Amino acid sequence: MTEEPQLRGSDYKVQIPTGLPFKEWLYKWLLDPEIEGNHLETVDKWIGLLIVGNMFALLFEHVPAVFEPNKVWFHLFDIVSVVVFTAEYLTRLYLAPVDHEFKDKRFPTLRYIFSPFAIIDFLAIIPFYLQSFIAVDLRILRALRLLRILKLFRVIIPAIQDFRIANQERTFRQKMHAIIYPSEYGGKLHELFDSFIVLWVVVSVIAVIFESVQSIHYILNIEFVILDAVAVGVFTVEYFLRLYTCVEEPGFQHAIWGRLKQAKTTSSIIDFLAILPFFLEVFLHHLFDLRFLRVFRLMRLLKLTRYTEATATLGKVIAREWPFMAASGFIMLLLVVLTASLGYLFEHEAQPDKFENIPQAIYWAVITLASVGYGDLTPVTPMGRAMTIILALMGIGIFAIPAALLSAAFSDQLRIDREKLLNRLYEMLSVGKLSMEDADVINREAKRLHMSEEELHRLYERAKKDREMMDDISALPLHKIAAVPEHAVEHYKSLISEIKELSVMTDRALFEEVAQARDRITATDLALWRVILSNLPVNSNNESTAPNNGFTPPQGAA
Amino acid sequence: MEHHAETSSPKKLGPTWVDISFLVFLVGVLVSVTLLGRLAFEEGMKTERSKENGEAWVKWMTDASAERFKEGFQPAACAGGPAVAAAIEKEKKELMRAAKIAAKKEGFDNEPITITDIKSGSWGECFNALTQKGGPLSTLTNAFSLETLTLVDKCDPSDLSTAGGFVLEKNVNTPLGSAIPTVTSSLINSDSIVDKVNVRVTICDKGAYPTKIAEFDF
Repeated sequence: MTEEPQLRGSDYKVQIPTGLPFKEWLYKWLLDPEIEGNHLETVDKWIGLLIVGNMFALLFEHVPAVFEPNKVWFHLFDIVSVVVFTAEYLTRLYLAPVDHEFKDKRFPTLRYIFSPFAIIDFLAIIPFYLQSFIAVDLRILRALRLLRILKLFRVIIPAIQDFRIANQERTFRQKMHAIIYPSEYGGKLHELFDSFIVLWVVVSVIAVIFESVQSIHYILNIEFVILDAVAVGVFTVEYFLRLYTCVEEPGFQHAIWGRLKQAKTTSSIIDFLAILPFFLEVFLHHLFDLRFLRVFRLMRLLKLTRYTEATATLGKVIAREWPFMAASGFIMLLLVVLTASLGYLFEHEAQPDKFENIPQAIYWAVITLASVGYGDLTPVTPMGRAMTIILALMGIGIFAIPAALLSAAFSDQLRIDREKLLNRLYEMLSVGKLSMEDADVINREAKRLHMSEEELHRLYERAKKDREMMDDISALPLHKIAAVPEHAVEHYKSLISEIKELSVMTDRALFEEVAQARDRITATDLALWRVILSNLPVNSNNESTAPNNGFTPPQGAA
Repeated sequence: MEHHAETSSPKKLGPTWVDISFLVFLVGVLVSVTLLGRLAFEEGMKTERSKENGEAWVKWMTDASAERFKEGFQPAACAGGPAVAAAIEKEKKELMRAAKIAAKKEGFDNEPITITDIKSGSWGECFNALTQKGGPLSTLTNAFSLETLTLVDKCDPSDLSTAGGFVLEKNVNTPLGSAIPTVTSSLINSDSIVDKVNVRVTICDKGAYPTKIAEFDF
């Protein structure tokens, strides 16, 4: 039996049947990897974040200036982490008898306890409990807490296994490409790679921001240096891997030109600028003061644009609305120059130090037009003040134009994206129903467009209905039917059938009487009516078929 | 996210010599980044050592801030309090007497006499006592130049020779009603340290930018 493909919006949550035994229900609801839309992904995500948090806590515990004043908070965080990890361990232990991996084995709970992942989970929490009974050296305890990082393998190993299966017949470079670029082969491992890069982007940007806080920089100067070097290492490897594997991307296949083309893409330039300040500062700090370059490390934040469609949408919107925005900009420019000149004319004599020249008056005009109004330059002459009133009122409208344009274009772009999805659904439904692959594509697209499950189903129903309408050729205009001989024949059959239906429903004798008496139809048409009727079976209402008056249909009339 | 169809058909599934060359290159890149990171770390450590120098000064001065007003404080040049003030007054009188005699001898006895050579209770004497051989802070060295730690007027990014140096400044309260509560200026040799002085210790980092260590009463 083939499984029916399921459409899922971005808010899809699976409904687990409530009639199941509690243990089984809980397993399916929380941990079953085979059920999409349950809470396993959420559990994995939060456990992963907690592990990363633990790693940072462990790092900062080695910085006395951070650790000593916040000892209590560090301890509390440790307790919360252990409570969560223990809850996870005990839940998995409790659910081991219904776990797909162990349920068919003898002593499933025992088998679970000695499974590699369970041992890792146990090692992650046991040092905490041990210290309550045994006096353990703090350094050893910290080292043992490093074992918590191993918990990440619970996510990494299945992802690697899936990746190996999906990439069995593929080359080394194709595999690397699948990890780094989005493709149908990447799976969970690609998602993990993306998450890893995003994590480093976020951490390094936070570090750059905190570096500017003197009190924090004073304490963590050397930690920031190490962190920056590691971040640059990660981003440099990522940059070269992207350049190396980009030839697997359509349009970038050429070994040299493809890579050069990739290097020239906006995202690659951002990647390059994210690592450049580090190298420049190390090599050239003896020659120039390159401290200003540190701010450019914030460019790393732009790396995140790769993982969101928002900037691409903004780019599309600006490109589409560019002529209107340029026109609005031109009007703004005219207004600014004109009012600045008038402002200079009226105010220069009264305030020669403030309205010294037109460029200074331009500053005043822009600040007034944009409704900012710092108040450092204010007109004092009656004419200057009158003009400021007009300027301020016009500014509200003029500066609102680009904002309104962008806002309208954004919602329009969203509508276009959804229409594209609808068209895709039309195409997919042309074969009658959605395949599993089609459903996957649609689900991914719906997730990208942040469509709820309800919205997606509404769109699907609309596409289905429209498709059915398209299949009904009678709804098509006649010239379209005539263009396809098969459609024309079907349409002809449908018309004959309608005539037959009419003959059954009407009083034939009266019909003929009216038709002949008032000369309503031609003799040929009447003869055709009789021919059609002559082929009708005898029915109860019209006992006899039409009288055969010896009419022979003209050639080709039928 | 777009989905991309793979373009080249797989022939050899394992790493080719191109792949291996790339991996070797990648390892080279990683090694280079590690070495550069190490360089950056060493430079960072120099700033850390400069901070330690500044902290050593702060520690000594804060430890001494209460003790130096008691009798018998060593080094005596850094002592303060009424006894030192009396000694200075005495020295001043002696210098004044000597100056008057000298002026009389030269025939300038009608000119006003100013005393500039009083050394007791001045910062210059104290600084020399602390940094001269055997002084409590004489072993400190500049982490960047590896020479003896020197006092600089200010950290100047356009003059990298000030990197690793340290700056001592005094904060003086302004009269009531002033726009700014304190004025900060360099602690110069002739500044008196007989009474408590509010001091700011700053070190110059790798780029000769100032990093404030502490502000305290000395």
